[in-house]
Amino acid sequence: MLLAYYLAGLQRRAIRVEELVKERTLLLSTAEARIRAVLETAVEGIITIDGSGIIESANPAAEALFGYEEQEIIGQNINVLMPSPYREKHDGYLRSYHATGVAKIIGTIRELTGLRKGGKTFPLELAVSEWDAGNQQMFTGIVRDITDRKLEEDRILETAELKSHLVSVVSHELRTPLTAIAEGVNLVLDGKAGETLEEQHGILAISKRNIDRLSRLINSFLDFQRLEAGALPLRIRPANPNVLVRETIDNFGRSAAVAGFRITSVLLERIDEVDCDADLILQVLANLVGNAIKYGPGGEIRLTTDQTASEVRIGVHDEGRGIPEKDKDKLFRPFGRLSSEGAGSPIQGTGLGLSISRRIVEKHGGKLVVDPSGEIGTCFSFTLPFKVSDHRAWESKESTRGG
Amino acid sequence: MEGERRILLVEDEDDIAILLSRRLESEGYSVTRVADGVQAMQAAMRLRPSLIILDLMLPGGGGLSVLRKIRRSYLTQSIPVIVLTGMQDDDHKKQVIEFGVEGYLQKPYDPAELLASIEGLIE
Repeated sequence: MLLAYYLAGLQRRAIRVEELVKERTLLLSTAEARIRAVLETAVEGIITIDGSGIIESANPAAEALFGYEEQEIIGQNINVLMPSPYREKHDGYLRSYHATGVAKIIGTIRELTGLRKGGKTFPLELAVSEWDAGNQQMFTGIVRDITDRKLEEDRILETAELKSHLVSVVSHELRTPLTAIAEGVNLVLDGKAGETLEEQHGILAISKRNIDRLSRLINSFLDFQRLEAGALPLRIRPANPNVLVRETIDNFGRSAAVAGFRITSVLLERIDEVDCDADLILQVLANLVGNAIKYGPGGEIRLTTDQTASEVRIGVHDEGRGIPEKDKDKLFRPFGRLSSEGAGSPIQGTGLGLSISRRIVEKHGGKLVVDPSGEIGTCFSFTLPFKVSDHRAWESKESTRGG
Repeated sequence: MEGERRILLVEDEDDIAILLSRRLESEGYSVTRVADGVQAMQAAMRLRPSLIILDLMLPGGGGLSVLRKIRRSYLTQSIPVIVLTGMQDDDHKKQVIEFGVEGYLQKPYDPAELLASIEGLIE
């Protein structure tokens, strides 16, 4: 009786074990099927190697990428997929990783060169993970062909170089005829080609003004291109922001008064010196004050300085007609000039001033923004961090910019 | 030579050369115009002008090599040179200034500025 009960118990247990095994087997085969499906359909090449670099498996994408059948490369050293000198070095990398535990590639994404069957190389991106197969370490690498991306990058670089070359050639080619035009007009205006009637003089004066404008435009255009290409190095020295503001006011004093403006300042008395290229910051200030005069009906232009723990802020407030919210982005775009409607006279400028100013400030690690200035007018202000960050500072050492 | 204020104008652009000569002559200078580096060097040694105005973009050799020769020859090394250039390149400017030029003006030049530089250099 007892025995029968015991046997029945055993049987029940055996059935349960059997069911469990079935269940686990099913689970395992499901997991395997899932992994297989992933491997088979992955767009990236997936290759697994053992601790000594021998290929254990390669998915169809890897076969296509390197041009081998799976059977051809299984059992081979992974270094057959690498060109020299990486091929010779790879075993050493593996050994040094086993010895030191210091990984160079694992856990990162690296751009490397792959070698196809037949000897052709191609750029690839590789991510490697490491896993434990019970008795030994395994590595799985995921490989992506980045030929197209590289071609695109090269194309972009080439276009940028071409653009920069074109700008410098074109600006030289424009200057040559412009010089002759300018001297011709100037000679007549200066009375070197005989007397001129007042009416003729007036007409030529307009020509001269526009020759000067075109000349400024060519200069700005080249400056802008240099800033875009990062080719305008900063000459960083400590400068007192208040001194820069006062110098700007001095420079504009008379012409501002003539145009009906009063330039005032509210300066933080004990302001700290800031690392900057003073010439370029003066150019930014001249641009902002110049704009206030150009676009405003007259009144006060107030320059302010202030500072926080990390940066200085310089502001230019005007009493002009303000800038509609929708136009604020447009303002900083090259040639994104606003309509001159409502301004006193037709606006003469290059349309590059603000975009150049913004880039100069950004090169210093600061920001140039525009805000409403209280009830009326506009305030352009920019920040300058006290210390220009390291990756920018090197530029000043390489500086070759003339005065 | 005494009292003569002769300027050697080295400029390959005819239109600019014609107009600038007229400007300089109207200010009482004698002007000799040449259009390339070889002529420039010959004229500089033969005439020993009071001043040389040098365009840097010249056919064959270029303005920089002319400048180098002017500064090397004992006949010409003390003649003041004003460079007049259509280039806007800071590296280039630095290179030119290292040769020791007395003036560096960009095209289109401001006539008043050019004349002031010339007057400052010719006693």
